[in-house]
Amino acid sequence: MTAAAGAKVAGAAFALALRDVSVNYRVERGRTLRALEGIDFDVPEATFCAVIGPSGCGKSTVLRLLGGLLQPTAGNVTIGGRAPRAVAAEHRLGVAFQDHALLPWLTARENVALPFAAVGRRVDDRRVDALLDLVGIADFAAARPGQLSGGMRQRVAIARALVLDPGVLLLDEPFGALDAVTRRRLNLEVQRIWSERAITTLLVTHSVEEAVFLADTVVVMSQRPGRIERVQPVTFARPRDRSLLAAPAFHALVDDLTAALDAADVLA
Amino acid sequence: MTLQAGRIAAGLAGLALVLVAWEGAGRFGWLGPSWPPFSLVAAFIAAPEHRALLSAAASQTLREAALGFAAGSVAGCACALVGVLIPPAAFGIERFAAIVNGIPVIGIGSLCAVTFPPAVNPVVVASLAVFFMLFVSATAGLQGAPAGGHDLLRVLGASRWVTFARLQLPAALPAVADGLRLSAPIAVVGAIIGEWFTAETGLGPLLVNAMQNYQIDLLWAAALTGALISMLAYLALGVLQRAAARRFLGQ
Amino acid sequence: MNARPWRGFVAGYWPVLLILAGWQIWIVAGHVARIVAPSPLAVGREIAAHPALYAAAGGATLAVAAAGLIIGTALGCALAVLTWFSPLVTGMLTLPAVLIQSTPLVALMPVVARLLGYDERTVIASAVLITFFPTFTLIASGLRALPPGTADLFDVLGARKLAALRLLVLPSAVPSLLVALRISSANCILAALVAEYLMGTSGLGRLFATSESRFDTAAAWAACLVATTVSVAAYAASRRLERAARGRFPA
Repeated sequence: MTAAAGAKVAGAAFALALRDVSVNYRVERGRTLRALEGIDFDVPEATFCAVIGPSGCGKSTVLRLLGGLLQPTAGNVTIGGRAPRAVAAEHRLGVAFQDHALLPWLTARENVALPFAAVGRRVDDRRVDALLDLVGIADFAAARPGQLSGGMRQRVAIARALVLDPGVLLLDEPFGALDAVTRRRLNLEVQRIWSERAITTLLVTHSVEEAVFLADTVVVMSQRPGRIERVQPVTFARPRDRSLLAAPAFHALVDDLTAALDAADVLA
Repeated sequence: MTLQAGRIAAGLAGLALVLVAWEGAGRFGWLGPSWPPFSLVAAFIAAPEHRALLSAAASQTLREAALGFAAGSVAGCACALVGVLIPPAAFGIERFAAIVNGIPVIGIGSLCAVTFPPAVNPVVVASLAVFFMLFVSATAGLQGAPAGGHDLLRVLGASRWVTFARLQLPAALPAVADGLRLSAPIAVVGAIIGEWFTAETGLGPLLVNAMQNYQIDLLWAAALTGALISMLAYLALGVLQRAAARRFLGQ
Repeated sequence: MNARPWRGFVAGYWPVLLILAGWQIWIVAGHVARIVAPSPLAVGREIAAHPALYAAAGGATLAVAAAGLIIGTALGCALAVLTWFSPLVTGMLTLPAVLIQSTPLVALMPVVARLLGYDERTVIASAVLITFFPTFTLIASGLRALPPGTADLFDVLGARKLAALRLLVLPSAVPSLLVALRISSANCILAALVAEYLMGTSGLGRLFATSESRFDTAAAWAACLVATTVSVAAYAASRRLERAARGRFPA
């Protein structure tokens, strides 16, 4: 009975669903700005979804809705049928931001261990070590963020996002501030980590190539107010590796989506 | 806009709360007989016979503080310019400023009392106190120009003068404006403490005499008057500071 | 053995040496009466003749000022943390706190002396007052200046408010605390001196006041010199603390 209930929760506990979601921001007295309009899509359990779109289209707003940081003006946002805040209260969301959000006074290791303390749990040292290993920064565990390169900071941030064994991973342009070479290498790492254990993931990104390489589904959004232009399944076999980056089919899809993105960027 | 309005409203509510607490503490004697209610102090200031005394004292102190403020800020900025334009001098001048800044105003007041004529003493003390503040903030501002700007002007082959006029001076103005604002209360402190040593009139002697003679109402009225002139100067200079920050920092 | 430290000292402190030399020449060449101003050598001889007296007075002033600094900083931090839970209360308290900072607080010490009576507690209270307000406003804003994204991170993790306070908010305010200590370190010594001087209770302020009333200028200037040394040392110590912590807690 307990096992059955557990299995049922595990079944679709972390599927993401956005139903006809709109978001208005209040700019000034009486004036509002519509950031999102009629956003409606699903991310099935244990799949990887990437959201791309022109700057300011509300991509990050989608992520903030799923993190429970923002309430929709209209429509419904759920994770496994529940409100994101309820899932956050159970500490099952992992998140990484573009500006890494590491605490500058803690070492890399302490930053990875931080979520345990933040939710009042005992630090699982073995898990922290395993994650430092997984993202390849075990040798820099004692360094502070100020002593690390941008790429290494993002590795720490990814390890931190994974440390509580989240059911949902939210990645907000985590590699947006990195150079192209580091970015590609980290994409390969994320792909490897994700292949070992598939977590329901939403990635917000500028890079079409990154989206196609990592995701099962790419959602293309239009210029503000953000609407969905296209939902594109990506069916390349997993695990994916460097060879995919050279494949003609990969480039054809990237070109196709880039064209869709350019069309979406034209101001109405 | 609305956020700003909310903040101002909260601040004013807090101010009202402070005045109510002041009044209550005085009314019910929570803090002893030396704490009069606000209304009594305000009524004391408003009474015609006291108003003449207080306004004479306040205008004297304000005049001394203003003269000291003007002299001190000009001298402070000038020394900061020398320090920046003659780099070898900068190091020693900075240490010097730190040390002179450590001389307590009360010491300056007494030292100047034997050297300068009594009427001038408060002005000198105020100007010295302001001098350090402006020297420090102007130096920080002149040295704080963005490095990218220096590189750009060097690549363009700009002269030293152009670099100074186009880059360092505009970059320093917000810091100078900030220093001027913070110097308002410092100038008043300098003037009042200077008065303690040499003057018979002004807010300084009024405060000390009222303290020694248990004239509680007069003591509080003089303190409140001193606080008000300093606050008004601070607020007026705050407008200048914000304008400078808007113009030169894009805030 | 090595001439460099000496040369470094001259390079760093040449304005001070220049002023001391000029002062000595002025006194000797101008035949200035000792009652008007003592020479630096006379001040030095005065301190050398009564080292225990000046050390005891300096120690007493330093002790009360340090007590005031610690109490004022603790109170300022505590109130800022309490108000962190309510932005409204912070907003209400910030305007009065800033306004009080814009008043000539040091010069208004006669009010405090009358309120609390002529004893040591008043000296400490003066140092507390001068420390409290800047500490409160700096910490209150420091508690809201979090590294970008970290507040969202704690939110998404479902962290409790107290955990966020302990792990994120309090450490974020450390740079503000260090700035507050730097500002207050010299200020609290000045406040203690002024209170001691006004009431003639103890420490350097009293030594200064009694020497002054005896027209013993060498002793008065000696007290002032010791006060300056203590004040500069306190400032330098707080600066060093700030620099040491900057690596770990970048502003």
